[in-house]
Amino acid sequence: MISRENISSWLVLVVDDEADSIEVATRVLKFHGAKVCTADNGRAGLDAVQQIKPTFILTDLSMPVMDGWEMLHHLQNNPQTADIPVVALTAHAMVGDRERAVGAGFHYYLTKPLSPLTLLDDLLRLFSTPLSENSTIGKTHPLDKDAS
Amino acid sequence: MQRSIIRQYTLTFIGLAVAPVLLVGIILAIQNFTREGGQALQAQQALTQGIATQVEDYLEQREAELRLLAQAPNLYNLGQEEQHGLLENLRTFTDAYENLALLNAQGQELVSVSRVVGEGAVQPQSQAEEDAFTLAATLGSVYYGPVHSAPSTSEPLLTIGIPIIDPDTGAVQGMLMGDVRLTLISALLDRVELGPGQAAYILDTDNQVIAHPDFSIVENGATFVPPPDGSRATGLSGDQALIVSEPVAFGGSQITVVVENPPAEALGLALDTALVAGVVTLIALVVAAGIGATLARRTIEPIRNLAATAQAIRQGEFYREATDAHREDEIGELSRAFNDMTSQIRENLAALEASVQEARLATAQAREANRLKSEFLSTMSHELRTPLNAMIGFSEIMISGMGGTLDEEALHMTQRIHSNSLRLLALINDVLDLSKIEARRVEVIARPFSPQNLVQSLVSQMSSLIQQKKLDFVVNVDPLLPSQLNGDPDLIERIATNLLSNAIKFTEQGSVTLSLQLASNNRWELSIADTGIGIPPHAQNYIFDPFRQLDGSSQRAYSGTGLGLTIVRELTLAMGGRVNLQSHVGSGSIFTISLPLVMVSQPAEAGAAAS
Repeated sequence: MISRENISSWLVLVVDDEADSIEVATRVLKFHGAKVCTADNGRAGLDAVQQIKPTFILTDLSMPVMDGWEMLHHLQNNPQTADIPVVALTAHAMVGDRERAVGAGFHYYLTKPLSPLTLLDDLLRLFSTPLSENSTIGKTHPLDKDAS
Repeated sequence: MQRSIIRQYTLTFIGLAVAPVLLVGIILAIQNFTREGGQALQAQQALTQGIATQVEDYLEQREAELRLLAQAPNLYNLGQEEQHGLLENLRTFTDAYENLALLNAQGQELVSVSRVVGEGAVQPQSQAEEDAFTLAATLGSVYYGPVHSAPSTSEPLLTIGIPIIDPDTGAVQGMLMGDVRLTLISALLDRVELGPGQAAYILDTDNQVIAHPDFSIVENGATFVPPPDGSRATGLSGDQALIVSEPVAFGGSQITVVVENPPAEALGLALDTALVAGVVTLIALVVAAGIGATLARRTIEPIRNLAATAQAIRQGEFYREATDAHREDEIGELSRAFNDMTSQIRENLAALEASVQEARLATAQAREANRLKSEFLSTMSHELRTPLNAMIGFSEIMISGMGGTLDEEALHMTQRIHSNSLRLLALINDVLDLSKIEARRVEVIARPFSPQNLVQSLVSQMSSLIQQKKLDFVVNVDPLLPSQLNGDPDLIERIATNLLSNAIKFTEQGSVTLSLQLASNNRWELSIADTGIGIPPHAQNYIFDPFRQLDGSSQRAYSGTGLGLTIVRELTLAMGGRVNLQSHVGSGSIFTISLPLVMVSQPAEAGAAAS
């Protein structure tokens, strides 16, 4: 069970080809006490899963070598990794992207740019609520409109 | 082709050709029938008269021979030897006499010769004959006896008696008697040319047949009563015949020549004529049918060809042409006009096809352009968000202190970076949204939603901004509004957040009011009112256009993309709604979004889901 209380036991695998994106996510998660391991594409992510058993995976979708979709496919086809929650974190924020991601089997879906202030709350909310019932979380940056 | 012209023509021609022929044939046949009937009768009568004349001639010749002999000088007083010689001379001169005899005035035979040796004398047989003989002998006139049979041969004989007159006294001395053989008349009948079925025979005074080509009839003593001359009756042969009779008188007695003609024979020619007329009619029929059909075919065939060509063209064979355009007649004219029309159609069709092709190409190009645009938008969205992710992420980490403490000046500048990054993100989002709206790519996904939930979500999103500006946030939800509505809550929320952030942005003090109310039985309204600066009337017209804010100065004072109201208007229109603006400078603005009210069939569980 993923909760705020056992955050120190989290081992999060962050997969992204953008070093900056990895760093932002890593800093926020580490700040809250989670352990983080990273990979810069889907293939590397799968290799990492061979070594460790992450609490969940936070992955970009568009990546060289192997993208997030394919990595998810491999994870799902492997009984040992099929139960690992996979959260999509993507700059694909166009209409229909979220539906496509859920349809493909991603457990959760967040869009870039992520907000360091609300990332942990968003993740905890995602894990406590089935994705299909949650239409507002993760759609856009919560401050998108506030900023104008 | 139920009433094919060929058939009509053929029938017409047959009618035209056959009717007169048939009429003429019938008239001719009737005429001929009458004429031929008359002619046949005349011929028959002539034949009968001819025979009668010959019979008469025969008998007159005998009479003349006998008269000549009777006038021989002093015949009566010659010696018996000489008399016998003279009689024998006459008998052998012609074979026409059965017997010859010289009688005295009392009727006693003096001398006689006979063809058949031993045959009796030629004498009157009955009292009547004797009276006749006596009268003839007394008056010195010619005696004609009745027809009687030769005792030995049964040949019919006619007795002619010529008085022998004394040249000096003029007294009757005796009679020269001759039994004339009528058998020779039969021979005469044999020589008469008769048509098939015709029969000629001779009757005596008692209507007994005395001469007939068939001698057995004579032998049997057949009788026949001739009907009135030229009438139809049962003939001697027993068949129906046209019968003509001609009497030949000799003294007190007469013989009758009869000619029978069977009706078929009599009307043979008429029947022939009728047959010819029939054949001619038949030939006329065939010829007329042929001509009619040929003529009709020559006229109709081109029309049929034309019809077939038209049919083919109708089925898309536009290269087909009428085949009879070379003709000089009306059909040629029609064919040429038809071909002109076809070529015109061909040209028009080609032009049409060309324009369709063009249009298709243009559509394909437009579709491709649109696809490229969508692809570009998607890529842009992704590519612009990626660096923003770093900018917002790092600045926010710095501001929140996750990455260590900053001095006041650095914090301020980082906050500016963060704020402008968010503004850039909003700008990117709005531009992309507007592009999608203008490309008609906004999808309205109607589904049941709870207005209460919508209000709660808006309140939670706006509360921090409201608090920052220390404004009152008033929320009114019409209790008559159904707990569940059908529509696209995402789009409605986008409209509401846009309007609310505008309202907050342009209001320095007072309140912002969010109201949801039932407008009529088929519309509901979402309105956002503020107590802000208001919009002057002239600006109310263009406020919804892209990148238009009140003026340059306000753009700086009230930062924003300038696309919010455009998006509001476009999304509202996409949902079949209307936007209404009421505003007074200095007292505030009211934006009202009127949307079609679509009820949900099963209103339930809305409140539960909201909490």
